[in-house]
Amino acid sequence: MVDLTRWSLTDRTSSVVDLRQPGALEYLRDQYGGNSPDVPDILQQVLGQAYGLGAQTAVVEYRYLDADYRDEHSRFYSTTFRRYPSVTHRVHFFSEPAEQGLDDPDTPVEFATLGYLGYAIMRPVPGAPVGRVMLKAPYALEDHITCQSIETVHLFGEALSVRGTPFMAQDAQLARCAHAALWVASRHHHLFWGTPKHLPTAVVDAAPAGIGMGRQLPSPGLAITQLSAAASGLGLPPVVHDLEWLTGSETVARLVCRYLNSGFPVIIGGGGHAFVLIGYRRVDAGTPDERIEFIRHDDEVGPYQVVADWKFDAYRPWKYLIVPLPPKLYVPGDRAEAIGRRWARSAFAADGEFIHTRYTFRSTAVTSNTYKEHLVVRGVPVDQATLLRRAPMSRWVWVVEVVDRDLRDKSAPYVIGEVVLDATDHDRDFKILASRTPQSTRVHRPESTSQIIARSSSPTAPVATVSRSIGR
Amino acid sequence: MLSEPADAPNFVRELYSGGVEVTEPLALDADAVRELTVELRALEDARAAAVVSGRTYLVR
Repeated sequence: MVDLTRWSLTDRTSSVVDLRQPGALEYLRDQYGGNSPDVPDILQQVLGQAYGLGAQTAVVEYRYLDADYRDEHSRFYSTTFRRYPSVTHRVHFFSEPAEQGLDDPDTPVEFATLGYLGYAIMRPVPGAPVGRVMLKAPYALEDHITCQSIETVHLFGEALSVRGTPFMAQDAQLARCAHAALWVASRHHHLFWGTPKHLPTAVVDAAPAGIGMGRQLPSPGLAITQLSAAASGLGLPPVVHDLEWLTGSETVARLVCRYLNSGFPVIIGGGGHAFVLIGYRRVDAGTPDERIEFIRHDDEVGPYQVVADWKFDAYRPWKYLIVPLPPKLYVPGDRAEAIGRRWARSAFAADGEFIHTRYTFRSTAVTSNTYKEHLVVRGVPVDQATLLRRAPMSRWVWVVEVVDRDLRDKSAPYVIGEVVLDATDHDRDFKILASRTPQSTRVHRPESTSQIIARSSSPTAPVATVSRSIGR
Repeated sequence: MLSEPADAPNFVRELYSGGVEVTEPLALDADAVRELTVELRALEDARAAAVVSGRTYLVR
């Protein structure tokens, strides 16, 4: 068991651990897992992932004031009989060894040159030793994680940046999986889109207790209704789907990937647990065995976990999908795609073309500024990009792309055409902002039926998808 | 008071939109509108079902 009386009773401010040495990783594990056979899996996962990234050095700060843990401590751990320290240990990981300048006051080591891999906050809570983590994604997965952002921290006056997806493990008292999942989504929105930063008690308080059952502290978990209300309370009103009620040609993969492509973390409720999907990859593309593997943050297991087949997942059946969204994204993805599909067929037909059976649709929500900024980079001809750029558009738009599956499976540019929809538009008025086919680009004026067209002198080649062109 | 485009002095020019006005605007035909209405109603029904069932499903 971790001796909490010795947690912060040290004059040493920090230590450097040479992870190349035998036993070094086990040392860290025992420091925070208590040297027992019941070391939490999540601690082993986090340390193992850092090691898997090639971490050769760890720097431990012994008196780190972590805002999230301080918040938890203030609300809960300061009220218990057992005394819990109010400071955490922050463990940083680097890919290079720190051999020079460790003892030299005149030319001290510069940690910014050692290849920063991220950090993990260790709580002085034996039952829940892992707090907030921001680690670089595993190399095999990083191109497939669509919800990544950059966080900059400071260590001894040096700014260190890491790109990844923020992770939080539940403490199982104040916050449970649902709270942790919502925290992950909220923190990603904060880092990527600049929305307000929410600490754990803000997430807890946002969940209405009145519609729960019994006492809410220690938390028994959240009903989906509470989780949905909590997301709204944090300024991220969610789309919620009961996955047993999918209609028509909708599938779980299509539903989820629409939001992941847009960079929105997707919370799944299944098997009595909640976790966050942050990316996906297509496996065996173009074959009868083609399937989607999702990548998730599971607060009970660890960050960046691969779900090989969601239908056989340990948390099956997947029951609910909850996607916290920006407030001005009124139109959900399934509606946008239903409307966009039909307009795409109409636009193609007007140009004497048809949507072939090998074509499919891919929908992404982006800000219109981002959409316009990346048109030429994606491969849209300049004259057509000019028409689109000068068109008035809502802040958020859905881009419903017509995708050639054969080209996609060859990893070539595969978007044949697209339809752009106003994400704030009326539910029963099926207007669009613009459409693009290989032959022409049209812009629809928002408040009238008039349209402007730019025709191609020759068919436009397939272009890159809007989601990949903006780094997702 | 802002002047109408036709009255604007000659150093004010309307920015070229990038295209030309369409004489026959693109529209969804009646069949497409009908199918779309049915599909969107089904999506609304699914969303309503989630509101009801989500009250009793606990995640922890």
